[in-house]
Amino acid sequence: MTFDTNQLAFYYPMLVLGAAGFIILALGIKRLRSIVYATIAMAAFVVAFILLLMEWYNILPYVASEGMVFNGFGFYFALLFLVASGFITYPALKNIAARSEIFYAMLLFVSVGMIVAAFSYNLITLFISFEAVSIGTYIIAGFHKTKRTLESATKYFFTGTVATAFIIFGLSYFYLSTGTFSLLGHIAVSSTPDMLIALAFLTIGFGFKMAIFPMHQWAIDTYDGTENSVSSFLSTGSKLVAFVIMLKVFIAGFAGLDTYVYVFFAILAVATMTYANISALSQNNLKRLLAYSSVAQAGYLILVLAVVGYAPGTQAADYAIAAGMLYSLVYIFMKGGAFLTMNIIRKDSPSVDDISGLGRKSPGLALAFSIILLSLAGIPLTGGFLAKFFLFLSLVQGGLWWLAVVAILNSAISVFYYFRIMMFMYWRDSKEDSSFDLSVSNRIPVYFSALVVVALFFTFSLFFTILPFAGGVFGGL
Amino acid sequence: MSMPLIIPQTVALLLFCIGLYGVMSSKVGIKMLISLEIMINSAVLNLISVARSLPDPIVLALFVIAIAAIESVVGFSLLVAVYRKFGKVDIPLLSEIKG
Repeated sequence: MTFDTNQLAFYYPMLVLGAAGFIILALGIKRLRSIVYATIAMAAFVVAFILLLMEWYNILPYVASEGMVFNGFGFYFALLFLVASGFITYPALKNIAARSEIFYAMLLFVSVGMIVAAFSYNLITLFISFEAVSIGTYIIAGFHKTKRTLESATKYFFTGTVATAFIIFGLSYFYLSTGTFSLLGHIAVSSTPDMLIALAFLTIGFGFKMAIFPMHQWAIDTYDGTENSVSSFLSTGSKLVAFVIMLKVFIAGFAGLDTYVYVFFAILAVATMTYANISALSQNNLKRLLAYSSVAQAGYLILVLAVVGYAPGTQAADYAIAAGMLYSLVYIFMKGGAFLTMNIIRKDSPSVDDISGLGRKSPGLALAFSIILLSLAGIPLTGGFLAKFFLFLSLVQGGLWWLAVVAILNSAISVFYYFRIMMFMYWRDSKEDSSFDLSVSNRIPVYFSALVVVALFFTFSLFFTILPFAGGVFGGL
Repeated sequence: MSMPLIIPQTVALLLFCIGLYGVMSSKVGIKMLISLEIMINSAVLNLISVARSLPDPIVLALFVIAIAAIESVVGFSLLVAVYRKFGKVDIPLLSEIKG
């Protein structure tokens, strides 16, 4: 095994993040103010981001010996994960008062795991990075130690650990059938029934983390119960890690069983979208409504797997993967921004009624939140429209007309409940005066994500920029 | 002279189902945690039973044992924190969060 210095350069971003995590833990003994730790964490994210960008542009893609492939696909998602972590660094300050060094150290360690997941093409490292993310987020979720966060964290922990057991079981069947844990190169399947067991177990395991339909119940409770910034991170960063791993495992690893992958994920996607959108219609609790919408978005994301399973190796498959990549980018800002908007409501578990009157009290904020909601619904002039457009385009291109129709109908249903929130914002008067906390630190993330969501609509050439990287899901350069 | 694969696999699947049943049916957090350990360890048993010539599954099994230990540490500390706040560890009966 060789380990040349050229290869070492690729690991610098992870080393920076890990070192910053330990520095923060060490500084914790001095009981500095939380903002110091947040700034160190943010600096580490920025340095790692710049290092990744420099490597992407300056150094040729590289296949390391132990199943790590540093290609455009991996770099894109690694940058995305850093954005997702950096996005909640400052908003989290508001509610994390005691022992914040542990929170930020955990955030940094989770980011290391996420970056490894982006580059790894070996099931052993993929599983370990997935667990690093899971265990870190169990701690982050229960951090505030109120009754609500503890309950949501324990529910998250128990479902997450059951999912882990399913994944290990699935991996053992995967090995039994293929004789390898590597996703690179051609994977010879020796026994199809064992591979189908592996497919079922791995779908259940990763589906728990991604909150797709039969495995979604924990997500509703956990997103509702945790702090707003933490629910924002759980529904973006942690979910997208599961998405990347699913892309790699089910596209590269199950390349010989595309038909089964297609049937499996077409059914799951339709069930997830329909169930979540219909449940959200009758939901009065605002955070639970956003949680259901997050489950529905997971349904749109796994449409990518259905297309690739139906038409593997075609242009439609590349379009679908690239659309999934674009969707992930927009998703961080629209979903993360929507959960961070909940910071402006003082109540712990806000109902839709609690946001009424925002349009009169702070028109700018109401407009920004409306833009985020329109993006989630997929209305033009927002990045969400663009992402959905390319995703549905790939469905049509691949010949999956019926799935495209179902997905568009579901988008139409979702418009109802997003508009219901907007109706309450603009056409209802608020009940009390002090129900909103309109401090600057609460407003900035909302304005920022609304701005990014609109900006992403006007940079639609971005899709064609990332299209060449879509093939990287197979571990190619 | 090797054991037919069906024997360890049946045992592993049986243990997995017992663990799953334990997690789903019991209400006490400690019992749920023990059932989870049974589930993970049944998966480890399955892993080492499929290891034939290459050491890959054994490597993963070692990592899984370490990860299971970390997971039970996190789980027990969560349960201690829950006990301090709620005065009980009956996870499915906690009802601060309602639909």
